[in-house]
Amino acid sequence: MSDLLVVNHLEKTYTIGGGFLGLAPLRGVNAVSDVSFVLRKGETLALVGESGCGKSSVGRCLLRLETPSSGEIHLNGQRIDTLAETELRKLRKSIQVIFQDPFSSLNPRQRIGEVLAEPLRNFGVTSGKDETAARIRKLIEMVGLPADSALRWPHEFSGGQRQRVGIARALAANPDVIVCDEAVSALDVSVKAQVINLLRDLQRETGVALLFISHDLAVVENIAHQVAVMYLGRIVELAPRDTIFERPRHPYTHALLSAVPIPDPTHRRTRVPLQGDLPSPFNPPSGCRFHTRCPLAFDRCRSEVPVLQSVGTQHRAACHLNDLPNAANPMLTPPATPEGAHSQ
Amino acid sequence: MALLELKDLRVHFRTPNGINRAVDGLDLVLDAGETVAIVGESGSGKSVASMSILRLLHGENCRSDGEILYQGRNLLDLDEKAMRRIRGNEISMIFQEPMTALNPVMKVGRQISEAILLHQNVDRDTAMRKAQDMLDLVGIPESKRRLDEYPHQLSGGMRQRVMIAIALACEPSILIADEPTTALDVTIQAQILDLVKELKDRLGTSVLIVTHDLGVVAEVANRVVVMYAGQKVEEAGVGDLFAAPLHPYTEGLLRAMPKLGTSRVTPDWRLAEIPGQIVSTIGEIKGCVFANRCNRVQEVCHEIRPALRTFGSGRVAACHFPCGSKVPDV
Repeated sequence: MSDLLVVNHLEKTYTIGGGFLGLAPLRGVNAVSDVSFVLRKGETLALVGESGCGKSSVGRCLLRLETPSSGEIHLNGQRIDTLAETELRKLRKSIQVIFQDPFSSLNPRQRIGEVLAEPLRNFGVTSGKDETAARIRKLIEMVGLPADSALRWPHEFSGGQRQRVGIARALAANPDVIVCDEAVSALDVSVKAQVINLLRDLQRETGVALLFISHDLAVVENIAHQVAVMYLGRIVELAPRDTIFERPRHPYTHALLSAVPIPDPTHRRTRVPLQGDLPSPFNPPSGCRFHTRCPLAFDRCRSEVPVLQSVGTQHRAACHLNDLPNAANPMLTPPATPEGAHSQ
Repeated sequence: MALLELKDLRVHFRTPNGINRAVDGLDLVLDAGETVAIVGESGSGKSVASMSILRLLHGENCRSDGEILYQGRNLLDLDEKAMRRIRGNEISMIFQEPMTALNPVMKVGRQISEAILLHQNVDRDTAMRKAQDMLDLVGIPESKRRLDEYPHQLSGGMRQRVMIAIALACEPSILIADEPTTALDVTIQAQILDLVKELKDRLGTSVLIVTHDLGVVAEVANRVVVMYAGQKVEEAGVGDLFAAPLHPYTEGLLRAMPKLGTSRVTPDWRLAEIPGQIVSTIGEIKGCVFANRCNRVQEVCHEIRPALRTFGSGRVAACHFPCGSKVPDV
């Protein structure tokens, strides 16, 4: 597997304030802080975290819907974060996106055929009417929509079907990467399963890589090869899927896993209690940004920022506890698969 | 006598395309101290059913029939004045979006004490003290300061706690919670579910929780009503339902749900899908509402609507060929 998308030390700071007549002071929100990861060809990297953790901002920076404040993004060896506005079209052919809300992401006055024809024309994927029409038919078939969909309007489709249209539109230009920003979160359970399976099948068929942004760990487990857990703008843990779910090495990952409701009334577990709410991103806590809610925090966490360091094969975590000898590390002393990853 | 009993509840809307039978003949019983979950997907009628209990749906295009018996009284027969004595006082409700349910220009303390002043014969100071007690009860730190804050100064989880404080301020006997944690992050969801469970035990409130999330159901409910296209298709104790669902829809839902742990155990794991999509509730549905998506479907299913049948204690399902039974030619 080759490295397709390489992100190095990505930072994004939003400036907020000014207010009426610019009288209010300007404040910076460090939404993405020193984020680095690699997405390989044909694989899925999941960015997980709660609202405000910066996962969507990362996606928007890759798509250049936002301009990164600093850091580097390379696609196929080419640096893309510094591309001029005029060169963006080429980038967008390679990186496409699927949004969360299938109702607001389709133009209600465009038939499905036109929705799909637009990227084909814009990126010069097909030439001539016949070829375009043939490609549209193929796309519609690939995502499992009724054959007559091209002539129909978005309002004639259900939420799940609209999301299929969104997937077809993203696939139209044969991109290398698709950013899926909460792409299945708004769907009903029965439809969600359909769309997850579809994304996996299409990945196998086309070799497209997915950056799967989600807050739902159960979904992520079904689709991801690699998982990056984010908290307040930073990646706190990054590892292959099985490692993250079986041997998490960050207390936040532990807490997230234990908070997922398990659809099994006989399953009893002890939650990792997370006190309070996410701190304000305007004023992130000193040291480890998670220390205000961490059940295992100690003095060092309040003063020193933990770095994302290797804790195993392909496994990196940013927690001071991992500097302790294994026997003294509370994340290693309980059985390796804690509450979240239960067995039946 | 049950605390709350819905008998053949029908909520129909008139639309330009015909009558939308959003809820079509729902029977439901909520006993004192019990938590019942209504589970279903969009379009199942679960929210409409829960909102019709407090008669929050009105207008000339909406019609509720049947009976909603609260302590033996039919709420559908009460006048608006009597209804106001019930709302927030004996039966209260919390909603999915705590931001839109709270008044953005009214301080939190006033919003809580408003409910108390409306239903109890106390003065403002007493009501405000009670409001502070409620904030303590729902676990909001620095409750005195919070009384003087506006909703936008609170996080999403805090707002939902305030909603719960308002809902429980008058010690109602029933709390209806419509997707109370859907808009919240998973760690905050866990906190709110724990809070609801704890308060229910402490105050003895019965809870009717409406959700699409089977994980939430498994955590809080004693009994579950599964709705599909306006109808109850199955009802069972929470253990029975998850252990051995009877209706193919329930079984499909359980299998379609991404479940932590399962996908790693089996290589090449695939989520089970329920093909197709929910049938429209506009116009008459012939036969079983789930027939067009069912994996056990037979000819009779398209012709005759299955009646709710009893299967052992407290279990009902509306299916000609429930799971576990023999299907003629499959």
